[in-house]
Amino acid sequence: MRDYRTYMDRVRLSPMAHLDLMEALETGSPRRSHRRGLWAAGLAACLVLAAAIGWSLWPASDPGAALLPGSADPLPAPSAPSASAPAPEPSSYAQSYDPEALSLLVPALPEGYAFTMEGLVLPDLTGQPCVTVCYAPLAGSTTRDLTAQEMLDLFSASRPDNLALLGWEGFTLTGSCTTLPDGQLFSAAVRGSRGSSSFSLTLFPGQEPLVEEQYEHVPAFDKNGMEVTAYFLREDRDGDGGPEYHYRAHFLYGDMGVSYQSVSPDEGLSQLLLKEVLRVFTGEHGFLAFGALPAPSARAASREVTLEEAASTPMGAFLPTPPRRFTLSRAELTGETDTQCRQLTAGWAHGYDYVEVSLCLFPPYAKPPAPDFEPGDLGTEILSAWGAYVEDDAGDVPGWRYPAFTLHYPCGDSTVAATYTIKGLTPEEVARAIPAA
Amino acid sequence: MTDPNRLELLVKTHEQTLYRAAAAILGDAHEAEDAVQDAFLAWLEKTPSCPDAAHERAWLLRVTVNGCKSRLRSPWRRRTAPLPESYPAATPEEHAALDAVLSLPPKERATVHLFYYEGYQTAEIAAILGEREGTVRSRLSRCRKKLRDMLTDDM
Repeated sequence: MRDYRTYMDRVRLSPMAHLDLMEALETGSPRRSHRRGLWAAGLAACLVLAAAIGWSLWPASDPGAALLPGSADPLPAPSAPSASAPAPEPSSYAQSYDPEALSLLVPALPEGYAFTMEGLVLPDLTGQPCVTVCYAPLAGSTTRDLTAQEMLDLFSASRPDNLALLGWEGFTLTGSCTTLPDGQLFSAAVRGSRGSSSFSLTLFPGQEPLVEEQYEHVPAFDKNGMEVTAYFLREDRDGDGGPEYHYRAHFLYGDMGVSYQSVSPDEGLSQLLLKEVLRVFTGEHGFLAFGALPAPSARAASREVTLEEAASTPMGAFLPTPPRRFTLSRAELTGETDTQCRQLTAGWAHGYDYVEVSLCLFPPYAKPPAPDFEPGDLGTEILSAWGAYVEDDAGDVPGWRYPAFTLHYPCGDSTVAATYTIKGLTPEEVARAIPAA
Repeated sequence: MTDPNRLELLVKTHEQTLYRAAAAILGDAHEAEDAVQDAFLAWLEKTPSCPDAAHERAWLLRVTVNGCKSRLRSPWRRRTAPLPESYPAATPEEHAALDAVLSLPPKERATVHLFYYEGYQTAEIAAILGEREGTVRSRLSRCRKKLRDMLTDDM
């Protein structure tokens, strides 16, 4: 059976089947393999394209040389520094920035630096089939702005003009970082704008980059030993009547996902912005690299608590008491102040059965979700009609299933909306578990 | 509603495990992909509360195995892409092992895969398959004998 195991180790769900799966989960319905023939043909074509582009992309690139796209002719300007060159000397205004400001203007390139001319050939995916995936950090995550110093530190830049080597000259930068409820940094982003041109660079520590628009045939290239996926689109997304050039790249920098997009009506500029980021962060420059990530927000937006702690909060009185066979899986407080919290969630499980409740406090001026029942009315008869007993539910265990339902409880001059998700309990058990008032 | 990031993590964590199990039971690459989709869609619909990844895996495997059983019962089941033709090339020894496992009835394939590849104990397999542990033990013993007869390598 050793041979069976070694063979099975190599059996893997294909990336295309993974995309099918993610699309199915996004739409909530199965996405069958009706396009598999096309996908296989597309994959073959894609591999040929990737090989061809991989061969022609970044040909004989000169480490450290900045580039201008669209031409193979070199600029009549001094060559850029090599990878081992020291950082450029500061210009007179390079240091004039407020480290605590929430924006940063990137000054001109240091004297003696210029981008050399070299084309960047990427596939044009304009009009190709695309799956849009919306991502959001976990509920309870917090986002804050980055200071100018944090933005510089993020790129290991000692001065603002260092960032001009990325093609960001004249761009005004703003940044933000998002912290998950457990205190871990979820992402850090820097955005730049200059007139009608812009870019955004997002870092995802410890995970692959989250790609919101997933195209079927995006080739991957090797760039200085790093695998990069990149392409461009020519679309009018701002509705000004003319197309913008959207140049995009995704890659892993160590264990950190990087997602980058530049947008401009000037194709040359959009291409330059992408090319320089790829050049610098795949290791061709010696003095710019991803550096210190911003510190996560000091106070987590939510925290896990014991059942006793949860019960001692003002909303604790509205927690259910599931049957004794159930054990607490997790209880969490969100949006705490000194006197109250905005949300209390708790879940209990027994085998494949569970009880989950979300208690949300709504002040008098807020409108809670409409209730499905009055707590005092919640008896066996109503619950039997609301739920259903199933013998075989998509391969799950037999038992009672209930659509989620919401109850309201008065809490001072506020309202607590309790939303329940329950599986496996009988109507009698549900009626006993949920407080009447 | 499951959080999209949480769902993405769940898929990345378990999709290969489910796919291998479905492929072992169904012997068909495309049907295995569909079975994996069905399992995650069931998760999306039911949003079961599992305390850790091991329970998640067991829940998803149970749904996958049951889904595979339903597919094998279906008279409309496609039989177009047998496993050895749609998966990585195998050495002669690997091919023999795979052929031997795929020649077993589906229930036995599921048991063998969960035991020898996923490393589950018989009690855990019984929970996943919804059967008694004694049934799983006797089936495993029967499978061992069959495979021993078909293969020359050491079990």
